[in-house]
Amino acid sequence: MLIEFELIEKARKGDDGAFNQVVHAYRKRILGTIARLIGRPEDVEDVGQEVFLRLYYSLDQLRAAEVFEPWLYRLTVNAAYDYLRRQKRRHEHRMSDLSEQQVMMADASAGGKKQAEESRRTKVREMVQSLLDKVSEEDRILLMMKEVEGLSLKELEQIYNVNENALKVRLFRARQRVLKAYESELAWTGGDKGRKE
Amino acid sequence: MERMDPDRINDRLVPLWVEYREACPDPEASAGFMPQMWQRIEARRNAISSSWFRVWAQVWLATTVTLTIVMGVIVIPRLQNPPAYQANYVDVLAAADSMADPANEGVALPLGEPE
Repeated sequence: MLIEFELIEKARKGDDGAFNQVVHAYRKRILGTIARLIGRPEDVEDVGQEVFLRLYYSLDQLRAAEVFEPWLYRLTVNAAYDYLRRQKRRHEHRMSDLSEQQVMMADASAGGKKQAEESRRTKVREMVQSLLDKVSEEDRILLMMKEVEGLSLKELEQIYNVNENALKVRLFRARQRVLKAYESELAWTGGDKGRKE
Repeated sequence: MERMDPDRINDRLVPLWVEYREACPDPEASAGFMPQMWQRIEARRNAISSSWFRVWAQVWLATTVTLTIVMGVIVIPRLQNPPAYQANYVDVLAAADSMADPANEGVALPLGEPE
């Protein structure tokens, strides 16, 4: 826990100052999680504000301060789902945005200011995002929460309200799908290299 | 789907997740994050209170309309026809006569017949 239980209790009783402190403590972590879940840096703050807005109006339903973090992650996961569903509906719009992004990246590369490390990171980000685009939203978010955010099965149980065995099965299948996509991506890249050589 | 060895899955994917986590550090919130968040909270609060006000106003409106109908249909017609006006002219005249003439006390005149 990043904060004391008393602070959560105060926020729950309507103390806006306490709520502000809660947001200050968690916003960086939550924004990071959202960034990795949705993969669109320009919308991270918007989704983050939505998460804390939902937290503000649902804190009175929190049964105990001890379960605050799973509660906050649940709100985060739900907001990310909602965002991804909205994005799916605006798919065409998104494609035009992506091409704009690509133009910007090409401009930056042309300027020669991009460092090698940043370029490698960008490649990793793109690679994982493209792998995750090949699985369902549910698998994508579950894998992110487990593998990247490092949540335990117990915490995931509280977030998803399902038992551990069901989670294990879902995780295993999701990993299988991602690995399959990863291997076909590697095979394709290798083949491409081979052709170039 | 063909079954894969869990160890093989983890061996291949775990380094990828680690690298991805390093490539995506937690971003810092911008200066406008907190003010915008409070604006949204306030906007929602106003929306909630105005919707409560709307419900409250609708309830009062419905009550007022119901009361108006009840008054129009039941109460006002009753007030406009008091029981005193329901007696006919002869009854009223007989009652007035019996009160005015002490000699007639205890004598009941047949109503409606000339003396």
